[in-house]
Amino acid sequence: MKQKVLGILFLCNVLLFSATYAQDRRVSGRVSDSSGDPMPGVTVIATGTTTGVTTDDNGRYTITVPVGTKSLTFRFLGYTAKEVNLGSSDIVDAVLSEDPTQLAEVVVTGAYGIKATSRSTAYNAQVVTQEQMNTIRQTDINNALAGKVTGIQVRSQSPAALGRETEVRLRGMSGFGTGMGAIYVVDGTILPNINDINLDDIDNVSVLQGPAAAAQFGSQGANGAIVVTLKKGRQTRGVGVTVNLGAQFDNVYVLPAYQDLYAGGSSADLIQYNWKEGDPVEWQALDGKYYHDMQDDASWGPRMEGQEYIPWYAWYGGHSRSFQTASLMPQPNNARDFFETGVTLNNGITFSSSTEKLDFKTTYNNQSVNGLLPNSSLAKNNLNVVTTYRLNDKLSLSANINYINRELKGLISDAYGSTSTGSFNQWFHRDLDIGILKELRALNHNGIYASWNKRNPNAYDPGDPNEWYKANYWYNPYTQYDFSPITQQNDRLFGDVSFTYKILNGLSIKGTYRKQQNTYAREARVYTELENSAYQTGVFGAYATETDYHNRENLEFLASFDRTFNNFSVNANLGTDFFNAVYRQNGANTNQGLTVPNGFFISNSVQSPSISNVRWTEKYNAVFGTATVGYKDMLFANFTLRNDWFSTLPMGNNDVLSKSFGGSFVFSELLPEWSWLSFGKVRYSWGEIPQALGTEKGRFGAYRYPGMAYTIGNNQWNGNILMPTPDQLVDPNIHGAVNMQQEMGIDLRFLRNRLGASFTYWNGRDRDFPFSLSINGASGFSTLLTNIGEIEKEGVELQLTAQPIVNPKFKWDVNFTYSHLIKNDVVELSKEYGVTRSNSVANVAFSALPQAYHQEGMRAGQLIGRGILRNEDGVPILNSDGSYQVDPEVFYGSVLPDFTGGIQNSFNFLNDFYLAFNIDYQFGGVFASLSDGFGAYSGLSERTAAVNDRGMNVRDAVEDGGGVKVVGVNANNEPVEYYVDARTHYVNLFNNGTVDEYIHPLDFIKLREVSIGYDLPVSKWNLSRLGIQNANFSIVGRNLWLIHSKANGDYDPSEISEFAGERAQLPGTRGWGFNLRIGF
Amino acid sequence: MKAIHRILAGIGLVLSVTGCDKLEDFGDTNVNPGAATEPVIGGLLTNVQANIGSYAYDTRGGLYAQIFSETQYTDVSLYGRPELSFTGYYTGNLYDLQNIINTGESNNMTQIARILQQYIFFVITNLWGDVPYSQALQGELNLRPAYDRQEDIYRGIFQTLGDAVDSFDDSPITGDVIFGGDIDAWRRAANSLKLIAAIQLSKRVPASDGFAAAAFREALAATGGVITSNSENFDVDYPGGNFQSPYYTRYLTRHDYGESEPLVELLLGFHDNRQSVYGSSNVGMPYGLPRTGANGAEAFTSANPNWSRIFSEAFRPEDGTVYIITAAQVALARAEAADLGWTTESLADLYEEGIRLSHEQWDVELSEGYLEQDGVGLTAAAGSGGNAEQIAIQRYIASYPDGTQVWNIWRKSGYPVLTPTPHATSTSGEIPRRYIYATSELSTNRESVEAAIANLPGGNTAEARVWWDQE
Repeated sequence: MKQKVLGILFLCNVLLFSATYAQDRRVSGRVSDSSGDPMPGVTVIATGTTTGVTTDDNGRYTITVPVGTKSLTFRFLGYTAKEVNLGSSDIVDAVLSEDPTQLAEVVVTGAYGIKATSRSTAYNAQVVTQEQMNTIRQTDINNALAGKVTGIQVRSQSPAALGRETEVRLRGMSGFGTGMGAIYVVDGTILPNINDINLDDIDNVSVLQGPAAAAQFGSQGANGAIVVTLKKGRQTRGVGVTVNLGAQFDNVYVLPAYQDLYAGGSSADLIQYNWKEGDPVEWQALDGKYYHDMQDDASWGPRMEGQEYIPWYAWYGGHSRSFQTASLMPQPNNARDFFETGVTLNNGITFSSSTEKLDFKTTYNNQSVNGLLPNSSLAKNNLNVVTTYRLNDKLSLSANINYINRELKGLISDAYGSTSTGSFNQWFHRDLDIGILKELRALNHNGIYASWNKRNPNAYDPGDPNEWYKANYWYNPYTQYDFSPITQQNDRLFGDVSFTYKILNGLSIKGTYRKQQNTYAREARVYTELENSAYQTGVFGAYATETDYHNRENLEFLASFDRTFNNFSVNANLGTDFFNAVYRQNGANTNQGLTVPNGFFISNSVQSPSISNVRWTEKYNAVFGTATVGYKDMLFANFTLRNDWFSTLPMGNNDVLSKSFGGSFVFSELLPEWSWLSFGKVRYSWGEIPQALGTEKGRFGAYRYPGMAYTIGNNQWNGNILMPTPDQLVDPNIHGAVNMQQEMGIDLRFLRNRLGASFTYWNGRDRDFPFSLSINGASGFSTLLTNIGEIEKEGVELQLTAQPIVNPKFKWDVNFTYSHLIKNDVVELSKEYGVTRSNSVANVAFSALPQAYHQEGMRAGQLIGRGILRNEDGVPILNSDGSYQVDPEVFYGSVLPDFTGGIQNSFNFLNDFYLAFNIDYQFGGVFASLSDGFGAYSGLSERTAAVNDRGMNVRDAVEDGGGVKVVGVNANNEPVEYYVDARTHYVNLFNNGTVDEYIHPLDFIKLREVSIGYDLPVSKWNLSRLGIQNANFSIVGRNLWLIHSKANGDYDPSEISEFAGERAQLPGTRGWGFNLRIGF
Repeated sequence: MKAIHRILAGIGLVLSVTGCDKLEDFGDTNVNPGAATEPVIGGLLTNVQANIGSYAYDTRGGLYAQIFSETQYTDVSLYGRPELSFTGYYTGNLYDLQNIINTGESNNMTQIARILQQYIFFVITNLWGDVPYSQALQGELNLRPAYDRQEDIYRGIFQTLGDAVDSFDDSPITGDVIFGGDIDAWRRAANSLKLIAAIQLSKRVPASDGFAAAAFREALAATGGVITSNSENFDVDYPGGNFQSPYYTRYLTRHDYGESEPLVELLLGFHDNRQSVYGSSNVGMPYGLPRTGANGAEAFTSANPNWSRIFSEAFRPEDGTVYIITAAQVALARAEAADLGWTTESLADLYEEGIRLSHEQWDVELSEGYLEQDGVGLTAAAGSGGNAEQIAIQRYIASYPDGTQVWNIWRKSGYPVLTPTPHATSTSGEIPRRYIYATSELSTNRESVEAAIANLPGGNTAEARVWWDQE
């Protein structure tokens, strides 16, 4: 191991010692663009010499120039080079302006803030700028990236699932469970999740895909990295204040199609109520009238024709509709109307300044969201301070500090059985008036809260007069939300403090301390009212509380060398990183109710409360080096070596070496005669990252090895402890997975950069996943944690850019991305253990629907389960009762899409008006829908009351021409067709697992973002007397149009809630809003 | 150049301070502070004993044997495919017990663990038939244990129980919440289990000189004897609070099961006072109804809100008792052995004693003329096997609510005569006679399960009969 480290040291020594020059005068300054933003990566050369340096993150440079140097030359590709004469001052600032005839260079940010120009990178370097990303001021960075870079699959979530993290996959699936996703890096700090970042603060995002680009991050970067650079202090004409104001409104857009013909219950006929002795006297008013079955929460009830009936609330006294009948009418919008308008207010103010001594920027942002679910809200305050103080031209101190305070309220769930969609889409009645449910949310009988779902009136027992009023399976949803408040709070602090010492031209050292601390507190209450109102809901009054403390710290040292010599440029870094993470969690919850009703404290538990106490510590130490050597700005070679030692791996074998190398060749430099070719580059890179044992992002798998941890049960049985034996064996030779990828690509620009194309082919191999392999339980253990599996990946990525129209009065920019995940295939599961299929890695709660597995020889994340048995031609084989024969093993396809991408159009009219619309798409891959399964089982969905080919409703009796037409062959392969009673048919589909029609493609095309903006004429309107320098107003829309989907329009496939599909997915939404930005 | 040396010295310093040895040494960082690395054998035993009562109150067998009925989701009593995995028994209680044995810390703990293991294997093999036994529970040494033939499992159970009873010494016993470390009680439990297991084979190995009859007689003659009074019952007394009787938790939040109408009719027909305990009313829940519809289970419960729960409320307190093997069950098994001619004990005395012990267990009086009435009174001489029906029915009643045991008795004897539900969803429409091996066995132990299926007349179906059920 020492040799590896020494090797890195040696290499850097060579680079350092070669930097010997005569020095004379020290000049420093700042380079900015025409809008005042600092420009990092600008080459500063003492004119007429070979001495050159590049500017830092703040656009600052320091150069020692030889005697006699008359001027400095500032160069950055895509900008007009500038020569500034040296006067008496040692401070020389420069402002560079864009050269429209040149391709603007892009700066790619990697680990530890190390920057590279896109010209020199050997991998597909994609950088998204603030303008491209923040088109509509989304609050979620992943959604803001959708379709804008290649190789990314954004897994959005319904905005009704307030506060839920979205996820991305870079170049397919990573890991061997359900995937780990890319890490997020904000100004060098690695964050396990990104959901608290204020998008207005972001300057740009570099997306680094795969080990070749992300080896510099070591283990954590194995699945790619999304590197965010926040805005720095800038020079402004005015007082340096920017105000961002915005409001957005979201409404339900995509909900399943419901049937609106049949009422609730199990009985197809209304049932007559006959008052009898012992029944409540008031019910006499309802004697002889009819009701529909209330006990069954399905919707196989009578046809709704406006006939008189006794609604659920009529049995209760104390309101205006007590003991009265009503007309039985469908309520087509009852589910839709339940959801409120989501209102997002997003307001911020930024102060920014850059002076010789100090760069400073601070932003305060407030987000306030009223969710679509009742009583749900999110309040977030975000404070960001970025500052650099230069003590002198050698030493500077920087601090980046982000503080976020967040409070999320509400019962937000789309699990099976969840209130809202878990009811509306699976177990509900189509005749329920949501307005009345809302109005009667507090209706109760002796403290027992009224529900639409309770036993029928003949179950009324005069010996136990309260019992009947209790909720059977469901409460009034409003009552449940009112009595189940949950509050979650986060206090989060992250950032770094660092010092940088510039030793000589281009050589600096930097010491950084990073910290990321998150304190989380959760409290959940269930009021005793719900317990008192429970017949079979299983709900007890409850209180649960949890407090988490999570702290990650890095101590980093980095020596950087960045110089040009004659035709050569060298950028080298050598560093160390010492990481320490601790997590401490304490939680407790009551069991089996609260002794004092509504006493929300742990000691009030009926049974002993459950307590949890989780602690872990993880550490790594790393030594790394990277270098890029360029020749004539035309040929580049780069490499990375990084060695990590992990506390979580077996001692004595706890280090891994990550490595990557690559090269690029800007061949257009040799072809100046091809004037149509503005730029041409080919590149190749290779990388391999071995990992630790983590199963989630930012974790390294503490205590997975050596395992066999004995815990003790919460409670003692008359003084005796209970201790179970762990069910997992751990392979003593366990190690982390190894990800390898290589890629080659070509970047081309034509016609003075009006057209651009970037093409990448990549392939890779991930192997040796530390996986809890299911073993036969008769051995005494259910799983063996060992290294298994190999996944082969392959893909292509294409990005096209064009400026079809460039006119002073009208400009049109287009960016198109296309990614094809050709392979993400399981080559081997485990030959050693003779296993070709993993245990199930994900499901949608019920085994009637297929579960996700990794199957040897097939794409990862394969949905496998029961389905319709088919003949060779794919025609279903039917039983004589018209049901499908069952195939116990149907391969429905992988949850991974084949194609992802998008197209962004932006238009600029008359310089002042902007229009942008961003579409993204996805094709291939499937998801399983539990809502479909139960929606049909329970007679809620439209298909259960459709009209068949005989023109009759499928619910009509088969002998009258009704029934669902089922076509197939019989056991002798002869064509047959049957008409099957609708209820029997759909109940059979679910019970038998012949659920083929509930598996849908993930295909979609979606108009995700639209923005229409206008730069207010500040001078014309004389706004400058108010101190206003610039102002922009925009109207935005999000998720405006699900243009294409093969999920019957019932679900938004871009927002599938889980890996294998959905259990009761919250609805897709459509939103619009406006933003106002004012610069002072 | 000084500067270069300074920075190199700096980096060198950082690396030398930390050094490579230092870089890889994290001390005890990876020692889990939230758990112990070694087991506490008393804790393992208590953990098993806290769970073991669930086997003696399993609803599925009780639904097949018609002592229970489902009140809303009627899938099991309509004979939906019972494809179930047995591995949870092994990874849970069986291995906890094996862990006690493997530590070798206490001989007496080892013997208790072996006895409890045999009880669990007895439960498992009766449900599935051939299952892993001799090669099971060996951890990484055997990840794909072969299935043993049920006959061999039974022979192993007899052998191990006999051996355990004779192996107790004065080593310490901890965590025993069933018998509080009473070795004699464990011997009685082991001998009684052996006797109950032996009589289960009477259909397949009926001869009085067969190995089953021999095992029965061994059990009777073994050190410590068998359970003869209710105070000696092998049972679990739940303390309540955090460990509640499953009879109690059954109706805590759900109302899915009732006492079945056929059982209520049987008991009322005999004027059997145990009905006042076994159910909450005399409105038995009709058996095997479809879920919904006018004649569905839900319609019935709506119209009869006082349908009979399992046990009257007084007999399902949270600190109740779950019986695993009772004096009544043992006496009635001995009566059956005498009837078969396996022993020369007094058939009439044991039969009457069994019925009386069962009444005593549930604290009810024997109704007048109970023993003499048709269907109860013995009708044939001892040794003839002619009283099979009466004895089976009394064993069936006395074993309530142990659904698995009641199903065992019915499968072996055919009594009481049960009518399958007419609404069955299975192809055969017959009452299931075993559980189907789960498909997970195919992916983790294919060769073994395929060999076991090859030995099953009828294949891996619910209608196939386990070895002792075959004529």
